Amino acid sequence: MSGETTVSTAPASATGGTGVFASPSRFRLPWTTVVDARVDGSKLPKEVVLSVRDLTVAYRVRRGMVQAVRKVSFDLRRGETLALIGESGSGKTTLALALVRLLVRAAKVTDGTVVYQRDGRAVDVLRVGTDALRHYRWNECAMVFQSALNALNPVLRVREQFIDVARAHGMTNRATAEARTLELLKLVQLDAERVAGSYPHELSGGMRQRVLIAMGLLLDPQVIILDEPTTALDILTQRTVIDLLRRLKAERQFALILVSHDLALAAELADQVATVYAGRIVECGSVADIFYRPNHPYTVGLLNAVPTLSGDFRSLDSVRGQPPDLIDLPRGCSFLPRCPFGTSDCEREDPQLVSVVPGGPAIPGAGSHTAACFHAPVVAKSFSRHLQSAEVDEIASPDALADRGAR
Amino acid sequence: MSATVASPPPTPFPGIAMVRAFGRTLVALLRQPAGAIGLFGVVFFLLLAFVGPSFVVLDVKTKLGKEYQLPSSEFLLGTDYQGRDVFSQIVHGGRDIIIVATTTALITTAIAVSLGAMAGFLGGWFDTVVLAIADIILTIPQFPLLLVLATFVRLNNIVLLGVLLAALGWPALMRAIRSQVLSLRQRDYIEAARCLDLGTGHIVFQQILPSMTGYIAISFTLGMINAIFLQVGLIFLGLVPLSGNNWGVMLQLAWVRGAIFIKGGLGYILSPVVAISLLQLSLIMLARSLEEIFNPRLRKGN
Amino acid sequence: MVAASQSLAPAPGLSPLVAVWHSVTGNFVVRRVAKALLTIWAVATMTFFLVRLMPGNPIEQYIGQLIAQYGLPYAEARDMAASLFSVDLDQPLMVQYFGYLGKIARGDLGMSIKSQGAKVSDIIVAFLPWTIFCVGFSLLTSFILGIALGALMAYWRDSVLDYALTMIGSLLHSIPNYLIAMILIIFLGVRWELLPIVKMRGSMSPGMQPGFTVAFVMDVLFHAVLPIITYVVTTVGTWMLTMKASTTATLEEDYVNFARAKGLTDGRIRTAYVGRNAVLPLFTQFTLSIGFVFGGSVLIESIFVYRGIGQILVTAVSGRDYPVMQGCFLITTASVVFANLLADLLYGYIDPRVRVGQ
Repeated sequence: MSGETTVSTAPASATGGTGVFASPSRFRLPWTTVVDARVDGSKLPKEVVLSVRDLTVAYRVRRGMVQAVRKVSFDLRRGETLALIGESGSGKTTLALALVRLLVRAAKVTDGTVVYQRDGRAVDVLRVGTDALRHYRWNECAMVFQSALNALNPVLRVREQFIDVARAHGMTNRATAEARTLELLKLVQLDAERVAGSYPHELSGGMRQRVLIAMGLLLDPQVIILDEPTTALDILTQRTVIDLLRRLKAERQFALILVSHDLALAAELADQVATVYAGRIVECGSVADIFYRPNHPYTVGLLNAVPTLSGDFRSLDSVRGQPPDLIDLPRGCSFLPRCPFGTSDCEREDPQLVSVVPGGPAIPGAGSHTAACFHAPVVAKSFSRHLQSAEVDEIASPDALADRGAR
Repeated sequence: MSATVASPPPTPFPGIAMVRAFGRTLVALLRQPAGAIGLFGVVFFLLLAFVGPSFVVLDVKTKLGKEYQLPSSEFLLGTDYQGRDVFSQIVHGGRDIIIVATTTALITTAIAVSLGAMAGFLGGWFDTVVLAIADIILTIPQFPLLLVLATFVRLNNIVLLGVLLAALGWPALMRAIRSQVLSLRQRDYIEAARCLDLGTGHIVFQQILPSMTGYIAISFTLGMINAIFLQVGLIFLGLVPLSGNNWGVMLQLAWVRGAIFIKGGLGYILSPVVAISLLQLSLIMLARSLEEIFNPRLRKGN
Repeated sequence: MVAASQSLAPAPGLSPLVAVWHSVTGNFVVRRVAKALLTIWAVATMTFFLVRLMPGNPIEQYIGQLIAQYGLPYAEARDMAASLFSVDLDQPLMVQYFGYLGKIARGDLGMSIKSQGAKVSDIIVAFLPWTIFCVGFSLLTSFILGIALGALMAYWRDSVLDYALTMIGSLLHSIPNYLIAMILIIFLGVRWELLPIVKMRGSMSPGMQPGFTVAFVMDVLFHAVLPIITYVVTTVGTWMLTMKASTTATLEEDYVNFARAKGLTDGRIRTAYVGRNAVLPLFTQFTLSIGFVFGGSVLIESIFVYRGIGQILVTAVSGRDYPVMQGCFLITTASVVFANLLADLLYGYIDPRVRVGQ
């Protein structure tokens, strides 16, 4: 397959690179306030493209306020892949949506900053105006939804939907846009002409996911967020998509945020893995750290829940219990009811993310391994004993997990 | 399919259950402003039409010199072209219309429910034929069809008029019932009932239909609205040789005799217009509130 | 690779005839046209047998009338009746039936009883266009106004505008259209004398020359404005409320949110992503309302004395002019069926998911 062809970069849009970094307009209506979202980029390391601090999202339901995301912080570097792993309702999708400000009307970002940096210029995405936001979306940061039938407009052909995106971002020449569409569809190994002329309901799930990925690459964004890219797909199609993503990552060097519940996916593609529970990151570290040296009981539980295909049959330990009620959170650790390591200390205070390595950085991101547990060392030791025991010879190594996905 | 068979909903004393359900619906209706108004409106007109005549005597005396009087203390809504009291005519005029509307709605519901349930449940050629007939009836414009039929059938009988109107009204409800039955057919407890060989009739009438009573109530109300619309239109055109006095006849006489051009005739022509409009409005508000109650999707905000 | 077209391919081993059958019946357009023709045929058949088989058979009645009134011998009366009703009374019933169908296909609908010597088809051709114009114009205006207002109500949910329009829409929807017509005449015409309703009778002023002149168009609109207002006012409520519900539901769809994620402009999202998808469910209602408005023309035209096919039908019914009645009814239904067909085909064009054979 000629997927190896080098693809031209997106033609410069009419807004140029100033789109999201534009200074606030001088013209404003008398009763509005203009916020300058630009941030001093000198304090950030050059490679950090996205710096999230204390992001908090809550939304109102009849019973009260749902704390969907609670003070999440992390740094994402250029070309790096961060996997956000958690069960349904953990808040990982809400977190992703907050990064592009696509929350439902009832939800509000109540605290935090999301700083986006490129070429030395930085803005707080949460404070940019609507025009700048429109340029930010897809141009700088593309969030690709799950490939369910509903992600694409059912009454427009695929080609038209690509051209819509191109036109919205300044690519007014239809011929150029069409050519680029075909180029991208070939890149994701689809029959370009046929797919471009099809309607969404005529494509299979795997094809649609690849169309969505191709669309994400249309404007060469610096950050791509993928929400459950392999969830609705069968095993073989998953393999195709994962291989495709790996190749694209190597070629294009975009930063990738993967939102999923699938550990195997993280094992395949991620550099950094963060486990999300009850709206918070409870552990974050490199792939090797998470899979070989987990420090949080929830991470251990997730690892143990993956059945082994090789080795002796042992009983499945899934994490017992239910996620907590996000409206009425307990004062102490939210994982306590399901935690085999819990003590009375855990009731009193909600543990914050601290570095597992003494003296190391406490912000999730490359070069740090953090966990939010008072008993982290105990957990780590117990897991390494577990690893060494006779039953589990090749448990949960990233390669082993990847192999399982392939078979 | 689930491993355990869900038991069919219990119906020990269907009468008591129905009364209770009716009571609950009533309370829910009264909670909504539109529902309360609609219910009171309908009750008001029912009382007016059926209880009113016992208190208000129909004025049939021709009074020369008192034609087309404006409303006064003597004639609450004025007089007609023969000097007769309009108010008494209004009180007596609702009965026929409501009876026809109810008859029509009853027959329509009966036909639609039976055919729809059977068609949905049995499928096959029966389903195809019923659906084709329904489609054709739905496509043909109702009013012209009624006109044509009215020339062949002497509509001097209330029940006959009701039957005729019902013959046109059943397809809409039938299709809805049929599609509901089709979807319910897949449910587990129906499968269980079939396995237990409980008989088609039992399954249809005791398992499927009870879950649709809300919908049927709404369709009944809508059927009444449509029946009133059609019959008054027919009467207005002079095609229904009903003797006696009802709002439709009042309308027709007033129009034909040019009451609109005479100053005092306003009461005569507007009274039936307002009466019919208010009745229809009450029925529609009732239907809409019922829909809110039985159709939780419409409720705002989960 | 494109999944849907595979479903139309016949299984290997079946004869080519079945393959042709499948491709023909699978075609969306062919199916709709066939259904339309079937309905018209059913109506024609129904009218034929109604006239011939009902008690008080109009043909026999007419023959008796001719004999009584003019003292004609039976044979002559029968011949006259036969030509008027365009049937051949000598033949057995089924042959008459096919003859009748044949005549209809050729456009021969018989002769009027009341207006001696006038061909039914001529009468219809003279009056049908006025109704089609009036009804068509109203439906279009009502639809466009309704979906615009409905979309507005959806975007400005729970605002004052929303509540006001909802109430007005429900109100107008429940009052029968002929009552609204009467109210319009009573208040606008007689009470407050805002409009010269006497002069507005008829479909055009006497002496006006038909043609594409501004004067003619203005005159036509002058005469048609009250019926149009009545039709629009009584149907716009449905469109508004349905479009509001549909738009509200569409706004929650994933592809709308995804469109915003892609940075598309609000305008583009509102039209091509929300609007086009929200309008789809309204089309089924549109076909129903075509029949309703056309049928209602019978009453509305009588009230406003608008010379259209509705009024002709009423006159024919009161005067027991059976051939005219039959012909009008048939043509009215055929018009509705045809309009439904157009709406169906348009729907197939707009919603690509429907085009695939089912």
